[in-house]
Amino acid sequence: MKPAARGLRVEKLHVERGGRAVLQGAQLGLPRGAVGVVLGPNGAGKTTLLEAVLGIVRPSSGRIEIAGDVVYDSSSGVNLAPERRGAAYVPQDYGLFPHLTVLENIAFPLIAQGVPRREALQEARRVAEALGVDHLASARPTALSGGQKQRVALARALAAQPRLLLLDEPFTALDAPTREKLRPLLRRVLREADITALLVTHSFSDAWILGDLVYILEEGRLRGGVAPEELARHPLRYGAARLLGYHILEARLASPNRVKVPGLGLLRAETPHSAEPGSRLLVAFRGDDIVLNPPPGTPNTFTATVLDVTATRYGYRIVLAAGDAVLTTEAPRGHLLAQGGPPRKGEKVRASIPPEAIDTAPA
Amino acid sequence: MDGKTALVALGVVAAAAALAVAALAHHGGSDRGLVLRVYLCSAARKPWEEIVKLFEEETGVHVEAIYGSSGYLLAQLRLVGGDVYAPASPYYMELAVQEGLVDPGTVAKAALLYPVILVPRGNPAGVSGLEDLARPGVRVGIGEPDRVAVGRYARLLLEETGLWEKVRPNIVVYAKTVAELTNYVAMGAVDAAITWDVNHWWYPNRTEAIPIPEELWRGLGPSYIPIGVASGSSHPDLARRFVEFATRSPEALQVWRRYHYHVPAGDGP
Amino acid sequence: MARPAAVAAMLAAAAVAALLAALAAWAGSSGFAAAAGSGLLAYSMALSVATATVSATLAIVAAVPVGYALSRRMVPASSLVEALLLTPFAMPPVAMGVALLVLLVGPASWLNRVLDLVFTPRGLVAAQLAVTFPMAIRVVRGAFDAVPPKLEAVARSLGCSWWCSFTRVALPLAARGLSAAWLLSFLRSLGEFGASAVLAGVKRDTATLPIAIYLELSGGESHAAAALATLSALVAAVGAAGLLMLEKRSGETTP
Repeated sequence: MKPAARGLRVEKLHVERGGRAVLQGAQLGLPRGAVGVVLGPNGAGKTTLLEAVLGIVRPSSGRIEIAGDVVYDSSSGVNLAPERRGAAYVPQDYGLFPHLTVLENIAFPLIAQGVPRREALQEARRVAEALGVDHLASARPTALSGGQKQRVALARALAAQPRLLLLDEPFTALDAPTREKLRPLLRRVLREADITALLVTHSFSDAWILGDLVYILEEGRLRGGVAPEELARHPLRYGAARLLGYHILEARLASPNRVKVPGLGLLRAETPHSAEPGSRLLVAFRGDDIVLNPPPGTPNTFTATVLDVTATRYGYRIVLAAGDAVLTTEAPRGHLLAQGGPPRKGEKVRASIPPEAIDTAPA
Repeated sequence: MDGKTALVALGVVAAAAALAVAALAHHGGSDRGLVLRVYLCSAARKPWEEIVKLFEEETGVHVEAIYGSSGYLLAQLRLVGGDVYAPASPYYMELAVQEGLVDPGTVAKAALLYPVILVPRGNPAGVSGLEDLARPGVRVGIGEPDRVAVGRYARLLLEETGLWEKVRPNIVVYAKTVAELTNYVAMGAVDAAITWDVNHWWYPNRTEAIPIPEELWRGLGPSYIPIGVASGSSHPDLARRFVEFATRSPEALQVWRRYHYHVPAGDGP
Repeated sequence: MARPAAVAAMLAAAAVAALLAALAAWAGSSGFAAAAGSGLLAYSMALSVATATVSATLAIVAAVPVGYALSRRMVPASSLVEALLLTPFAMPPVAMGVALLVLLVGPASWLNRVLDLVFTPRGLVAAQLAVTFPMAIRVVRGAFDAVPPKLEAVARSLGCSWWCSFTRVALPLAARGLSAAWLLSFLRSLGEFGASAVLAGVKRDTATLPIAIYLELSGGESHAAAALATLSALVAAVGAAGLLMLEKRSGETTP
């Protein structure tokens, strides 16, 4: 990564909280203007990572650079105050100031930085218009919906003209339809503002839609730092398979690009070059990628027994048993109706997994 | 309350506080000149206030009069120091002398207190003498014998007259101060109490004083308000002058009499 | 359950009303006249309000940094420190007065030479301050506890310095709690007797309402004492009404 293009760089970051090591040598790098997404289960230390970058939690060691400037370095003793780091923070509940109106909230960073009140309010109104919240200008934050709050918080953060935007679970507090609407909006705003952003979330959908680079945070370490497509293709490689809800099965390499999976038989899949025939492998694939009743001659077809069928919002959730393996898939309603209705419990069905949907790695 | 209201309220409070500080600072008065600190029992506050004023007028000295119960005053004298100590009873003066806080040579009697039986107006229990206090059903109050001068005196008097064991079952309250005891009588909470005769004059319309024949308490003698110069006094001559003034001057004696205190013999009206 | 509880509340209120009525009745016009005549009525009321205003203001000014530091756990061994700071809360005020007096005539006599606190009206402020301070810290701490630290983190990330986020976010959001703390301290100071009597002395020039009541009562002037007590109940009632108004308004604005 060229220094000039640096947006955010985190090196060997160690953070302890209450005597517990939360981050253990975390590494992360984002080019300027990129959106980095840190995926991790609850309690993995995602918020701690943000707070360390923000400067309100002091790491025990490591180094943080924002837009090429060192803001924290344990070896040289640099530790800039949060207000001098240029990293605007949007917390999970958006952190709007309840004693100020929407417009005053958006103008807050400008007033705090010494811009005269009149000018600050004018500029705030401009930013509010850009984010479509100008009609809420004189409202109090408590009167806003979750989606409105998020847009106001975003407007306020952008008004600060930060060098880095820190977003903590930006969609968790919202209902599903609002979430679907706001993800593209956030993506558009981040692209247009050409701003480096670090977003932490437990949702792969957030990462998929918003992320240029996706990291996995597990046990205090960051892995990945790849495009979301690459992460989805090779979840085992980045230690993300379990987090992303992939089925993980043990298998043996039969021959190059052929794996023997107990219960599923011989499957075609890209396998590691280094693996010796007969060696133990892990295979991972998404439940959604299982195809029911594939056309004859489809590769990777196996037979399974239907254990359970439940209706869901989009279709049916079907639990299959193939040997010892228990697999769960979701099939769209229309797709199953076209095949003569959903399978019944106890029925034997044929199923297949496309070879390109299977990731393999040495066990 | 929004930010502006809070600011206005804050401003008002700050202004009030500043004014009050100014007033207090002024009140503190830096040049108070010569100050005589005297500790006076609060039960006799009224006459003491007048005597202090008369003394100030005569000498031009500022007297800082601190009031309280005898024990309280003794503690303050011990901690802070002062010039004159005048508790409510001889007992506390003895303590002060024993502790070396008061010069024994300077102790004098300021005013005498005669014991009486104080009853609510109309004398509901028909008390006419000490032996009536032993009558079943009479509610009697006395001061705490271990801690209050008037209680100690009552107990000694009842023991002297052989009535203590008989009166004891009738005692419904042991008051912590003579004022409290007097209030019980004035409010009708007890039928009778052994107090000083001056206490009747606190509530002349609500109480009656039944005299106790002098031969019954001649042995104990009247109680009195003692006064003496503190050993640590920084103005001992002035303090002695105050003691003299309070116990001997015609003006002071007149004040004591006006408040129905007795004055030591030899100073007739 | 609801009915007996309501009845109990009404009974309690009636009992307080009866108490005040009895006090006023015992005072009578002669009591008020006596208290006014001795010069204590107007003086003690003015002195009480003045000293309580000063001590409540000082208590809050001092409690804001302390309460904030405790709320944000900026102090090492903060539970221990807080327990120590709260200890005087449970101390009898007389004991506090003795402690102050012992301190000011002993090891801290230089402080008394500068501030002139023993047996002076200024001592009243010191005594009231000592008694109300732990309570003020507690209430102020609670006011800051109600301000999410995350909001201050957000403010700082937006370029606001520590002082800026304290004055523009923490203080305004805690303002209502601070007002309540001020009023509580004021009311507590109005009623303070024990520490004041020991440190400032029971004297005419240090006679706040409670001290004037004691002065009158120990001299047998219970009518005048009742008149002063009625007056202090009225002052307290005004303060209590203010407190309730604050609480009511806070109930309206917070969701």
